[in-house]
Amino acid sequence: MKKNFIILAIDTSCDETSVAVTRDDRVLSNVIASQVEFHKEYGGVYPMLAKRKHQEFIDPAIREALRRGRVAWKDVDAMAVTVGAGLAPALEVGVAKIKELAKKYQKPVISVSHMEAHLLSSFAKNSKGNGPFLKIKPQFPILGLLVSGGHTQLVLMKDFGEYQLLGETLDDAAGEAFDKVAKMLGLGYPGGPIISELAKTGEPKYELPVAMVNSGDLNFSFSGLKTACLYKLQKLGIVADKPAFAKPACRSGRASAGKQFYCDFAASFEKVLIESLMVKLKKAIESYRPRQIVLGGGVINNLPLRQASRKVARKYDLRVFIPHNNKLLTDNAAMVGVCAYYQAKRNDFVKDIEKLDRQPNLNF
Amino acid sequence: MAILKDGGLIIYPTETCYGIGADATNAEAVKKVLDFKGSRGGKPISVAVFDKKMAGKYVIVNETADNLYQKFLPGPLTVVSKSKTKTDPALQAGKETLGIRIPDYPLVLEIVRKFGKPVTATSANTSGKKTPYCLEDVLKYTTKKRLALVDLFLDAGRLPYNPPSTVVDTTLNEPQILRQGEIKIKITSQNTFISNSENETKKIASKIFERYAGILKSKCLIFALQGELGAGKTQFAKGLAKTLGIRDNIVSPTFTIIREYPFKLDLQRTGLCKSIFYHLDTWRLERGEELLDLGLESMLKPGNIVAIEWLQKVRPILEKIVEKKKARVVWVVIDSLFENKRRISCQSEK
Repeated sequence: MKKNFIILAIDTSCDETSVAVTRDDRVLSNVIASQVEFHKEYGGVYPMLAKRKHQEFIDPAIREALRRGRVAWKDVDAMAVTVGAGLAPALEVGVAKIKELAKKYQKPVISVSHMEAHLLSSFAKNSKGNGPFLKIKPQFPILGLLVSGGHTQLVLMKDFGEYQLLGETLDDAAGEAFDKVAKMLGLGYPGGPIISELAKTGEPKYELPVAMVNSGDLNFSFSGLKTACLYKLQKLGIVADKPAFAKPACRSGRASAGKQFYCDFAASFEKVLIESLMVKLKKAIESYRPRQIVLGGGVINNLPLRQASRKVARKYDLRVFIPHNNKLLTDNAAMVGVCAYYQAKRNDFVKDIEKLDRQPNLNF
Repeated sequence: MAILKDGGLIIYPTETCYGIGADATNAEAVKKVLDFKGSRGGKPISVAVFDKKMAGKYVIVNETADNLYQKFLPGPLTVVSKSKTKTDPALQAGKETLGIRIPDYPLVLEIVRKFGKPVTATSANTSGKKTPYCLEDVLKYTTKKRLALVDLFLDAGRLPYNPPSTVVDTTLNEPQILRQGEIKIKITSQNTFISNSENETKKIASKIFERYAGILKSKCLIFALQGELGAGKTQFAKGLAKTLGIRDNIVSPTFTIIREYPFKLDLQRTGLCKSIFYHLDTWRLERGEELLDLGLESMLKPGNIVAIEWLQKVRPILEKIVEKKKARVVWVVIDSLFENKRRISCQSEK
């Protein structure tokens, strides 16, 4: 394969319309549409509907990604698109656009798995070539812990393109647990940042169960932690314990709790959630003996989770790699471009573009 | 004060970083703030008010927002609520909401109180540049042209390094709106079951399904689920999937909104039919109509089964489906009685 391979990558797997330009494993631009000023182009009204939002954002996002990456269409060597996992009608927008562009510009296409892209996000380098895997080369097998709003997975990477799913959530994702517990506490949305912020000044003094400790496998479950929080809050009188019979006015006992209570409860929840992840991380390390660890997904923004992961890794003399930029943690197209680059290296291109279709349930 | 009145810009200290302030109701002043900030990337700008009462003039303070105001404000928190659009619309960047700050900094509160109108609350840096914690930060990273827009700098020296305020949106799943969409089912011995565990909830789902399975020959079957957080709606969906012979693990669709599971439906006599079990969750939708945009109607084919969590947000859409007889809707209410005890009742119009 030629050097300086330029890829235009699209990700419309769920909420964000994202387009990126990459050159080999370097990110030249990473545009996330909700953060770009496109409003002038359609009269200033922000589209509320998910699918329509993607349809309206995608063309300006492509133009912006090329502009910021200082790349012209003629320089693009290939295009990449996320085909799954994700929300089917949203994925369709990206797939349809790639088909249209492939016809128009006659470029090869790479079909990318969203979760593989998250796993490889630590391999992304910035435009100057700096990134986590710079001085240290990847040493396989690498264990990946992916934690986001929609996923919680442990994956063993034996090489690029060779993966084994070791465990995943059986019900709610870890990021979802943050949102739901924040809702119970009446803290608004999203739950991750505010719970992490409150937890900083909290004492983890409320006892909550660590999920799936004795399950014997590497799967997670956070629905149990969510209900455990609910029962605890009912006992403490923060949430009415028989919502079915309570009058709306007395459904909430939140008024009685002080600020410190929220901080303490947030700290307790965060601690147990991290512990649930760490129990399985340790177990996976012991069972599969990886040589390095990579983290990915939006919940990795949580600093105590990073610290806990490093602490566990240190015990086994392992290094933890985290993407060089927080933008690579939440859903974005740059990781898709980097993943596509490694696929291109192993000649993994789409053979029949007409047959390319979204795969909402795609997994490792 | 005079500067704000005349539409000027001030740079002021807060408990996080230095902010740039202008009269939030004056379009020209807001324009200057936007010029100072540069390309904002379509992000809205919050406003600082003096207290909750003042906030109430500019946004609708719902239950969730009220809780946050009581507990955490003043403080480094931006509370997003539905705007009454009495401030300059440019602040909202096309959205219907406005972020409110009550900075934990007496000087600023005093300025806002005396001024009597909200003041823009955004960090005093050009977008993408360093967050300013002292005058030098502002001067070093801002162009002269932009600095010329500023009329007054309230210098309080180097501020302690505190991260920018945490932003929370209180408009999603407002308790009051959810309550308005709630359905009531008349409890009878025939339509009501008691569950004492997640497993029993799954079995009850299977029982309820069997009652209506015959309809699938000619219609799509929708299970509209209502129940508080942790009531077991996803457990109910797991029970349905198991009965349908779906081996995939059914995970919460909250984040993805829609999950689909193909399966083969055994229609005695006519044989196997390729069908899809759709598992939907409206929790993260800003509006119920989004479900139509996401193709709800195309799912309503005979043999398909749709389970929808948080029916409260899409009740009018479901009622229209019933009215037009596009599908058979089974309404399911899961009430929490005690810790693990649930009362599950169902109802369906012919």
